[in-house]
Amino acid sequence: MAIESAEKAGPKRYQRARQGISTRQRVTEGAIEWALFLAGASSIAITVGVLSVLIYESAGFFAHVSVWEFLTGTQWFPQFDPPKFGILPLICGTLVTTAVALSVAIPVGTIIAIYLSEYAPHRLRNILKPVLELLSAVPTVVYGFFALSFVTPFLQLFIPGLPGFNMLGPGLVMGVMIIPYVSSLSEDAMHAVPMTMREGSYGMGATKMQTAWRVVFPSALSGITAAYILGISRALGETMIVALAAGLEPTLTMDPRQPAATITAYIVQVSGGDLPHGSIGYQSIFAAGLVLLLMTLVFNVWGYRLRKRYREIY
Amino acid sequence: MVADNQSNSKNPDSVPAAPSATYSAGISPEIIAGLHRRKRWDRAFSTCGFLLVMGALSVLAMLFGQLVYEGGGRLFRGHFVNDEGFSPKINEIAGILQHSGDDFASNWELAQRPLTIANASERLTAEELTSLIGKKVIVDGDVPSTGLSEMESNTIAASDEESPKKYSKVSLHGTLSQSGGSWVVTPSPLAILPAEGQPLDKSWVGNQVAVGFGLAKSLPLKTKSIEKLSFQNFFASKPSSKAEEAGILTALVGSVLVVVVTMCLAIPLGIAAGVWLEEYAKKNWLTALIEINIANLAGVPSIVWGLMALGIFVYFLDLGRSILTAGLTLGLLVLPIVIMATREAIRTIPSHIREASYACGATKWQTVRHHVIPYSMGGILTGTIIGLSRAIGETAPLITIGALTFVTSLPAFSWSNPFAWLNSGFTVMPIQIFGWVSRPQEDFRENAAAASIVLLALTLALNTTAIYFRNQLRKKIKW
Amino acid sequence: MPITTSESNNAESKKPDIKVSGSLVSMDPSKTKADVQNLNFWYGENNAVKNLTIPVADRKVTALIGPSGCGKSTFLRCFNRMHDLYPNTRYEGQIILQPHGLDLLSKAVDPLEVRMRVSMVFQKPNPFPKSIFENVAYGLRIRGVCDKAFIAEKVETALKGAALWEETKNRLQRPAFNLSGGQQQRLCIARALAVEPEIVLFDEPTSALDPIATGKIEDLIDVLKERLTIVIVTHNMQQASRVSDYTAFMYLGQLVEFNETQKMFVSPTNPLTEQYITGSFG
Repeated sequence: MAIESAEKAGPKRYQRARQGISTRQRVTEGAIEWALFLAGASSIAITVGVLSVLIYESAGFFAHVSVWEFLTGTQWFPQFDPPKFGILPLICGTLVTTAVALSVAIPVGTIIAIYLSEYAPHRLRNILKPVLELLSAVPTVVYGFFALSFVTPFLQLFIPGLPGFNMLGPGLVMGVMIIPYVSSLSEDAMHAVPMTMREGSYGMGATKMQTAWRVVFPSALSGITAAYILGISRALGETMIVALAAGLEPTLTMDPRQPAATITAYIVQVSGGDLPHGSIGYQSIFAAGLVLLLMTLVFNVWGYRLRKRYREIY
Repeated sequence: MVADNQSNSKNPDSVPAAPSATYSAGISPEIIAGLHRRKRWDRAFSTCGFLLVMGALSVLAMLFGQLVYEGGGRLFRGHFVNDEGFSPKINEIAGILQHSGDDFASNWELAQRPLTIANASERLTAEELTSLIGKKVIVDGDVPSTGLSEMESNTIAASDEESPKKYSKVSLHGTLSQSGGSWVVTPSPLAILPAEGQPLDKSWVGNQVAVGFGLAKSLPLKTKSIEKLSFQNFFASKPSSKAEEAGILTALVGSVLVVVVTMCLAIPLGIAAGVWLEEYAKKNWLTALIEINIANLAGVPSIVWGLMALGIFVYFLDLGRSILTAGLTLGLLVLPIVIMATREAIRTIPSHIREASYACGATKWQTVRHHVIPYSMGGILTGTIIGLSRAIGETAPLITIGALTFVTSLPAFSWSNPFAWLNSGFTVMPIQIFGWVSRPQEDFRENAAAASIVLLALTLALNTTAIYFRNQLRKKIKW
Repeated sequence: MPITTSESNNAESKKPDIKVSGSLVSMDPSKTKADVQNLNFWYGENNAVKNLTIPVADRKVTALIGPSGCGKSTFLRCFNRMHDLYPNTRYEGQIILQPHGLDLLSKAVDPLEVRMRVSMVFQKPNPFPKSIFENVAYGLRIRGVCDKAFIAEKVETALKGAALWEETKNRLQRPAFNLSGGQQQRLCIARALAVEPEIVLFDEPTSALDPIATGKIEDLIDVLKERLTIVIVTHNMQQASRVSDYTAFMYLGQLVEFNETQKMFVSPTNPLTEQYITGSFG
């Protein structure tokens, strides 16, 4: 019998392995599982770290400035005496640049997604999709430089009196940066719509465009919305483009042609200087960061839910 | 098609009508018109989609074009900066600014004439000069200045020695070559820059120098010295307060070191976490929490990571504004990217491969180590490269933790303490760009653009590699 | 060993009441390799294998037949504890490995030890994306064998045992994916043989193969049974009659009939078995 012959011959280790698993191996297995678990759980520690730093430093800030004043004040002048910490101008700047960006990214991204998913030949789609994703790989500081040195001067040709720092230029550039986030995820969602649904529509004599807008788009809506939300979250948190090209004065204005500061730009501006640790200015960037984190968190959780849902559908 | 069938079935014996006639046989003209309209819209939409894709890509092209336009010269042109103590005097006419064509006001060109270095051997040995052959040097020259605009050309030439003030200094870039035992600099006309920082183009010459139309056929240009003979490479020089002497050496080295630390943290931790989630985690609330948590970490704005690092790494753990701090910060930032890539890659491995391994008697860890990780390595690599490119381009969190924009020394390395560099101050490429863009002097914008080209090329190259890997992988393994 | 009649404990089942026929196979305990005793298996709440008792004869081929979803694959995968890989699964009963009397399903027995003794060949050929040599050597490597000459010898023996040596001896370092489907399946058999198991489980090994490749594998099984115990799941009754010595017919998770293959196919005692064998259902 083969087994017996094997037990006669063969290295000792092999014979031992045939008896079963050694204790050492068992311990190794357990230790590795624990190590891997710790790696997985480290993400929780990281989140706790982020939140606790922001909350701890913000608590110091709110000991000096009331939450009400912080959230409703319309003036943000940290360097004044007495300083004024009303975050509305920063939020306003953030929202306006985000709105400009989305007004580019959402329509363009959606149409590109439909084109790639419904019209483009398979091979073209496989080339264009990753190439488009390069748009979001460009370092944001390079985009900022581009907005400052090209887009704004270009816009000045059409909009007389546009200041060198404004929200329109960086907003548009940000929109271009976000296009791949919107188009790729939307395209994934549309691609996941089963062919039978399209066939149903084509069978009725619909054109591709009608099928895309009336059947595919609504079916993929939760995925597409998730893509939009990811885009919003990116735009809210974008820093370097606005810090370089939108100016750094906190002004409460809805006019994208005006210069303004965003939350992120303020944090960059302050930390670029040399603020003493523990001063109110130092603490103020954490309070601003906390507001930013909460704003993006809402969108992130919402987007995660939607993505999960559309994955479950198909 | 439908109409065709109907008409045929009704009159099977009739001769099939021409296509245009069959349409009208069963379908009203309104519907035909509607069909045409719908088809037109469809085509228009398809074209629109394609144009938008191309439009988006053209932004990338414009971005690159703008950078090359602004900074390409700085990047590809070598600079020779002053080599201490070397300034052989040359008093020869390097070239003549002369007008050509009919338009007296604008068509002025520098007629090149090689310029011999007369007393070079005094300060510079023949070997040193030989090593510079073929490279570009800056030649300091004089051109007639604004004040002389009323004078005639021969007057200028004659008055050179008596009134040297009337010449303004200009730097010529020329190529050093050797001809018949002596060294010769041939200036290139395009590189002429007047001292004010204004480009000396034809129109400048026309406005400032051209003297009495018709009178002046040529203006002599005198050079005083070859002042700058030490090659200054943009990549190999440190930051400087003089724009043209500044380079990206420290930033490049800083970027590499920071990214090394980043990857040392993110790759093992990310793969481990991804493997745990896919292979070990049981379905319970803790796993669900970790999953949603990682998805959220991926969406945290990068500047918030900087704030976290400022609070924890810089002040709480007292790691200082060092390479270690920067690397850890970026490591945490790209961690979710690596985790997600790992999970995606592992999910593509079919369960029968795992079963085959278990059926051979492999333990869980053996299955993971021999099969799951190797077969998903391509996907993990792709994700890691994308994370890497993100880390290289990230600016905001590093500003927050206080990266310096002006670092003139490289991190020291010694064998006695091989990890000392972790604690040194640093700058990285994006920070260097940010620093240069923020400077008020125009000259630094050229540097910023040049450094941007380097950074952009780096990130795009990394991303293209990642795409290539992904495609190769899809081709290679079909389960 | 008598086959116990099991009542259908699935009260809501509207399916025909299954009577296990009385064709008992009395088998000398010294000739069994494994004794399955009162085996129940659950996927969550779903009782997929119900109260199974079968003796598996040593160095013989035992075939499991039955319509799709009857639990034959599920039963097979109990032998090497494959179900341990997935959550919400539960075993009850025993599979006693002879002659040592080791209960394969016991909580105290590590599934890995079971899998070191019981190899498996799957429905679809599933070679690892490694070279041919590494595929066969895999089982040895994970057992910690480093001796190159020993591994090479075992790989050769296994490939010869799987009738694949002549075709592959010149390209052992080539990727296993380059082999044809039938060759891949024989490679998987070689992989299972290389560790010299006591039992080899075949889960519909030929369902993804063409008739010629199927024939080769059946010949192989015939040779292998001289030194190994084989349990094979097949949906193909001709195959069962060709390769097996004993056959068990399962239906809805229960054993309907178990007998020597010759007797089973010539004179089935249970009407359900007869219907299935004659092809009137299933």
